[in-house]
Amino acid sequence: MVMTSADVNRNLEESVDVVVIGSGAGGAPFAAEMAQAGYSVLILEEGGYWRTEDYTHRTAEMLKKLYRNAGGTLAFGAPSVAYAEGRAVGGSTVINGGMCWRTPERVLDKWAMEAGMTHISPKEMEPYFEYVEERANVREQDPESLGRDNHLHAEGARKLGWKVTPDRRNQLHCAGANLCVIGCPTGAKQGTLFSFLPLAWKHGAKLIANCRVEKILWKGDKATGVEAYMVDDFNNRSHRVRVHAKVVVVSGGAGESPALLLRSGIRSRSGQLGRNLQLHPNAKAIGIFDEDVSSWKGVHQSHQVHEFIEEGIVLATAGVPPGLIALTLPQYGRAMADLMDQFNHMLINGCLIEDTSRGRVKLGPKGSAILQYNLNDYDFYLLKRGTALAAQLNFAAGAKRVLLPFAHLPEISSPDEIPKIFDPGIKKRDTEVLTVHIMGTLQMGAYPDRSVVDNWGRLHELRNLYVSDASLFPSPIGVNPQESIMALAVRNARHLAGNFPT
Amino acid sequence: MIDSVAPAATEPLPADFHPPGKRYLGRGTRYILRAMTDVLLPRNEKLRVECTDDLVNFVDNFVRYLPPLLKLGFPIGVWIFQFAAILWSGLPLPFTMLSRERQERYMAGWTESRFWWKRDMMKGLKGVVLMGFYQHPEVMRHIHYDPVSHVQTIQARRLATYGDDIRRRQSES
Repeated sequence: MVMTSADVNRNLEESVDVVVIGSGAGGAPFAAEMAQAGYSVLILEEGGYWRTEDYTHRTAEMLKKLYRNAGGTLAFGAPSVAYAEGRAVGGSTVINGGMCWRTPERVLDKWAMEAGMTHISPKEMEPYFEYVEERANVREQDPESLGRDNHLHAEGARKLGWKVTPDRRNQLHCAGANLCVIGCPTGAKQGTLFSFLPLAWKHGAKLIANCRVEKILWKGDKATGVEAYMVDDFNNRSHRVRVHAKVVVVSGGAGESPALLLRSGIRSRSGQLGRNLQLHPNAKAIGIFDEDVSSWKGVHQSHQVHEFIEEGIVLATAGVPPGLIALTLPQYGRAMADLMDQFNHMLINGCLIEDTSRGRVKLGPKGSAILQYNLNDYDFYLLKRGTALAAQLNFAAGAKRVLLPFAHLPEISSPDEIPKIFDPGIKKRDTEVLTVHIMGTLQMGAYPDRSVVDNWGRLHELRNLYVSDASLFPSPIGVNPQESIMALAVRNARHLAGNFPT
Repeated sequence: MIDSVAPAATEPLPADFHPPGKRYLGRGTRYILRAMTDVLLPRNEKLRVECTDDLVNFVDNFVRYLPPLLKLGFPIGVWIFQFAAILWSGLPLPFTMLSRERQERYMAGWTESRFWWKRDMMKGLKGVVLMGFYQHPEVMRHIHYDPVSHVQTIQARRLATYGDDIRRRQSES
């Protein structure tokens, strides 16, 4: 069922109906659908196979096991954006916060109107969302799992009259360990490791972990398989794995998927392959309170503030371990000691924006993905506005001061100082931006001259090569993407199962 | 699966602080890094955990996992920091030969620089050191961060309250 590098001691050659590259939100549901439809399926996953008992609170150890490049990945630009993605069986669903939102109706309508997509209306997508929610156990939190941080955040929003929308998360009675970003140690989070992969395995799918696909093999208008290698943590190769397949599905995420296509020599006549990178830039606003907040005692995030969602701004908490907080703060030495002594008084929160900037993925040394992204002026304004709103919320909740992501305005201590955020002296390069949502680099659409894949995720140029991850999105969606990725994967896989190439 | 909890509460220094195998960073780089770490180390009247060597090991090990450009760039950044002191510290000496007071002033010049590239470079170097520091068991105790017992408590409560439903759903899937 699952093989790892420990099980592979020679070169392998396999023939299957469908080879799926990646086991995250896009790959696993696609594989499960194809396996259920009776096709032979092989999933290749670059990362390792780790289970609940392997997850600990030790941040660095988990970053090395579960994240691509131990989380040290950057989209270069002004400002450079730190982005994170999973590299393990289960992909980013192992390390995300578990938030599940349906693709907003306005976004689906936009995809239909602007990208010419069909069968994508909210009504047509509803069965897929319902299925994913059932399979991944998507529901609101049990009330006792909420920590003080989420209560404070919601109280602040309500005092300001802002709408608080409860999160729905893929979880089975999540108890609030708040270690989601380094692997759920209780087994409550229902990432693909618990939802879609077991289903795929039950129907005969096989998975090889520690197996990095180097290139897609193709001829004319047809993919014929993939060439992969067993790799260690540093991508040092050992044995070769060659797979012959009738269909190839690429689900490596919006950075790795276009890089794989590019290093395989595949091009798109649209010229858009690897372009249109969008990434929901996030900025922090950490409130410091007199009272004990202990953000690590309770769920990672129980709600979002959607008051400004039409503007493209979402506010939310995001509790993370102290090692990760320390990484982002400008202080050191005595100042850091004094600040982190108040770790249990921090409400860690911030904003996410729906960006209009566009970056791209290029090939770097040894065919690696290099991401480039520059925040445009409008998005930078939106990020400042989101940060200002987050600061306002913190003060309304009772914060004594708020730590900000700006090098020359690292903190403010009263709401009167919020206008300083809009000082033109604060530049993009002075701003710390991060993300966990990269998307849009292999956009779907009806028109081959401006999209990379068609309405069902199939490459316009190769008739049996499919993409199934956030690369597909014709635009950012403004909310956490995992449910959208899963629903599109199920939709596209079912279409493929009914129209399997002969 | 549903019985699993995080590892036991009292634990030794994690393996990240004394990794086996060959070092990635050279001896010279580690020497500079040690001096930098000593300045970066959070200390105040209540907190004094002297773990500079452990942190140098931690950083050495962690850097190996970074993307190729950062992995290559990290030691280069350390050496640039060392010798740029000849120009920017006020004395024609490398960082490691400055007095402690001057080292602190020189480092502040980087973290508060008006040049983004100096700040970003310093952020990367310092970020890895501090991430390690706040994972050190003694430091975690100092800031009253105890995820191990928290996870044990809530997992026990979860199973007591919802065990039947969890088992039922797991068997269904």
